[in-house]
Amino acid sequence: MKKYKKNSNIRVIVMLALLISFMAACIKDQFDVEKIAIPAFKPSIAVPLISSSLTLKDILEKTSLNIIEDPDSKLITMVYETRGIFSQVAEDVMQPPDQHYTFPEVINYIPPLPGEVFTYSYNAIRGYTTEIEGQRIDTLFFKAGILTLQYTSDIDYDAVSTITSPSLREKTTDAPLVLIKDIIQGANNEIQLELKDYYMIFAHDQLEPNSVSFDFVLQISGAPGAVPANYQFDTDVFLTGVRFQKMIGYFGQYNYSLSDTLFFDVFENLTEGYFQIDEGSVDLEIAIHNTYGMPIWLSFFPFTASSDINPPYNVDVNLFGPGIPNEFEILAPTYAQLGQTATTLLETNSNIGEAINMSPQYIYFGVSGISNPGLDPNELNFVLDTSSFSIDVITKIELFGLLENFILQDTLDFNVDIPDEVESAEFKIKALNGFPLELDFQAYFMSANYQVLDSLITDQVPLLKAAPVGPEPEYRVTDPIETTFVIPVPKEKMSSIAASEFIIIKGVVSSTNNDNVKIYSDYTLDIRMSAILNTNIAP
Amino acid sequence: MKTIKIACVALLFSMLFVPRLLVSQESLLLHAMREVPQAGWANPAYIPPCKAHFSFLIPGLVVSAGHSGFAWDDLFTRRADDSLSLDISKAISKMKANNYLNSTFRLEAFSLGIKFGKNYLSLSSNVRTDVAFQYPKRLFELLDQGNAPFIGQEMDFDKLHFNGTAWVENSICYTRQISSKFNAGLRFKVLTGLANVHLAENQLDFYTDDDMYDLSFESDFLVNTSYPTEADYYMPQSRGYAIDFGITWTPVEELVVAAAVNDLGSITWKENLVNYKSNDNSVFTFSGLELNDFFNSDDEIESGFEALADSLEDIFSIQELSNNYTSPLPTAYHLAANYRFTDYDQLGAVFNVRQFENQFIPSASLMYHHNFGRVFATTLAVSYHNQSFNNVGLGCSLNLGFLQIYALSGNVLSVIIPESARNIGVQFGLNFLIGRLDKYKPPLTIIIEEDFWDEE
Repeated sequence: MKKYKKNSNIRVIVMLALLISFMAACIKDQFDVEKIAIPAFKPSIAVPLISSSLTLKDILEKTSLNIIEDPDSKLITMVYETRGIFSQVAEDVMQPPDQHYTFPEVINYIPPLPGEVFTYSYNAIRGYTTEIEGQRIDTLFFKAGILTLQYTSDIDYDAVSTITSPSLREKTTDAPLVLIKDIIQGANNEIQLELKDYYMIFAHDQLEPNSVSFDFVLQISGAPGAVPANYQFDTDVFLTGVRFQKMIGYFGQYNYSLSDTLFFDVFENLTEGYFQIDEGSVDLEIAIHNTYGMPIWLSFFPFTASSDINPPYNVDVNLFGPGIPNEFEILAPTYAQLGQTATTLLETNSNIGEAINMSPQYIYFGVSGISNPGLDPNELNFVLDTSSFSIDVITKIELFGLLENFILQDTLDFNVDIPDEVESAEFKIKALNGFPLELDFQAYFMSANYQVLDSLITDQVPLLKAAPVGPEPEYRVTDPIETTFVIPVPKEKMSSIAASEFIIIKGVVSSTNNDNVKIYSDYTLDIRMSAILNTNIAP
Repeated sequence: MKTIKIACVALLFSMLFVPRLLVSQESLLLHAMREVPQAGWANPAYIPPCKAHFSFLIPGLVVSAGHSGFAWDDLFTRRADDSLSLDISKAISKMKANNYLNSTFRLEAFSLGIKFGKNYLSLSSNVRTDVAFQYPKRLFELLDQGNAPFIGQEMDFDKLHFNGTAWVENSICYTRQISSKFNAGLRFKVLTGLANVHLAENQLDFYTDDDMYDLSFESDFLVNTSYPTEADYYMPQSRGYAIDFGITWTPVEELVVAAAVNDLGSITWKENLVNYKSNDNSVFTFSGLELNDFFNSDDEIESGFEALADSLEDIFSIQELSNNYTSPLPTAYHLAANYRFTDYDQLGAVFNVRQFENQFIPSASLMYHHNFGRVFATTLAVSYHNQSFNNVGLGCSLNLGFLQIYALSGNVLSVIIPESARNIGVQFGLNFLIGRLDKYKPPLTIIIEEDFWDEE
């Protein structure tokens, strides 16, 4: 066996110790974390963004139109309507004026025997001043109003005045109005009554139409030493703040005026192109709902469709055909139908199709009306305070027609906060289009001063291809068509997008082969969108 | 005691977040350093060359860590100005499909052994921690590169495992010379749990569709935890048991072959429990937001994301339970051979397998042991450990009378070139030996003869 060599081993140990110490000193810098740079991480993230199956109803959900579908054929009809354009209510139109009647009377006073009173009676009739000359009011039910009686007298003795009006009756009891007032010398002899619980019956004769009658009784107490004398006793009657709840009679002619605009927001952003509707696929319906108990004549003028894009730019809509004025009398409820609504459904023979083919942005119409157009005073009119008439204008457009280069464009604020970490991206769109419509799409990114910085799409291929359609009359899509579209957004374009303040969205829609198509409710657009985001995440 | 426990727990959790990962190679060297009583940790059949030993007051300590994935140096590239730049891609390129991170800590508070006849009986008390983490390379690739490079590929993270445990181990070991050729030993351990975090079940799959990049998630996991709280830092009811056993065979005087199984057992956790359980087999596919919401709602984007968030919350919703559970100990299997070719020199080889969540992680070592007389001995080893051959171990023991000081490291290169080391660790301690063999012979199998006590 080998002998142990003590000195040699010690040298080896010492050398090893020195070597380890030297190496340890050298590695110090290796772990100085302050000198370590941390570069950016650049993961690429693949992420699905959109997965949807859309019907036309989904796509048009935010517009003001309604979508209805034929339950059998499933053909879609767009409905633009403006409903409930109300006329003024009757109490705002018809306002009975305030009345003031004066009843001066000279009392020939004969002192009564002790314990008895002197009684003096008289009556008077006064005409009710109407708002319109020739108006006849048979009955007026008060909704509000004040009856004020003021007495002026030089009678030296205590007296009691009693006024009875057979024309003014209590609503619940039908009893005539009776007002009794102690006339006190030197005092304010006035009495007031709220009329909301009363109605007034008017008498008519040739001399005084709309007349009301009052009976007066004055009782004067006796006094020792009283002597006969003539006293002046004046009564003033005021009817103020009168508002009616119901009126019956003949009210003459009142004028009405109203207007509205029917906006077609589906054409709002159109810049070019037509939607050529098939003849007979557009319908205009007008309905008037009337609670006035009197004949009313309406005139729709103007009734004009306007387009900023397509000539002739303005089309006057004739409801009943060329050359026939847009005028007609609406139905009114009979007295037996008091409180009910009479609806007039207008059967039109209009040129609305011509107007819609212009792809108008809106239709403006004004309506003027006049009551009792025949000026027949024998008419029996009635109104409630709430009486009015309202107008519905409904445009129904069956989606049967052709679109050719139907260009929609809009400029929007672009405040999308693109994370700085996203350096570039690639968007992938896959669509299974069940609509017979082709869509070209482009987006332009603009600076704050509307200078175009970049565009989104460089390939000139349709974003969506139109699905082929079968033969008439159904024009149904035979097979949905799939389109896959990749939109690369390199670093430079991403910078432009991030710097943009506005975006112009432009879509060009055409029907299959630029020919007639029909849009059915069971058509869907299955659209998928995903992206690969190339990021640069700085520490 | 409280301080020790809190320190152990703190160490356990600090190891979770320290990116230096280690596996204990020190136990490999112990197969050659038989003059140190702690060699019995590697194989309970080893008998120290003394009549009795004890360590007390100055505790023995093992700290080690290893990472199979990459070394510190692999995380950086050196630039022209000699500065370093973090290079995650480079680190990932060094990873294997599955990578291991391991950290152990052992503090021997007390040890006592005594020989009687052909038997050696020892007692020991230790505080130990073991943190093991396995992660797939794909996880880091996904974080670094995103999912785009992996479109159309199933990303299976089932191999993500974690088990971190801190415990107190009190043991009794009985070793007997069965014959002139065989020794056998058995160590029985009573364990008291200090803390544990265990990913007991895991099924996490991720897939990016190759057409429209639909994202599919499948999540099913169970994380068991038990750790002390300020109000309840001692958990006496979390008990467990484990055994070590081994044998040595000496076919000829110069050769010893040894085999051992260590830490075969488990701890049942019964206190301060929180089990985080996902919904069973939660599968979720995200294909994008519904445009219908965009057309129907003014808050379209928000509502879409809210729906998405709700779905994800549902998928990844976690139930918090409080069920008892059992966590395994890091069982290790050793096979060693030592050949003495002079009175002072011997060569050894060790093959070690560590079991972690039904997987076996191998290590191996070739060792040279030399005695510089009776006072000083050293061991030099080259090891394959944590998928790296870059490990040079060195161990020393200094015997000054009855006092024995020892220190060893499974990879001294980690001191010299730590930036390239995947494993780092050190073990040292102090023993008092009584009746140490006077006449030196490298302590392979300690032959206990009738006249052994007379040699003093």
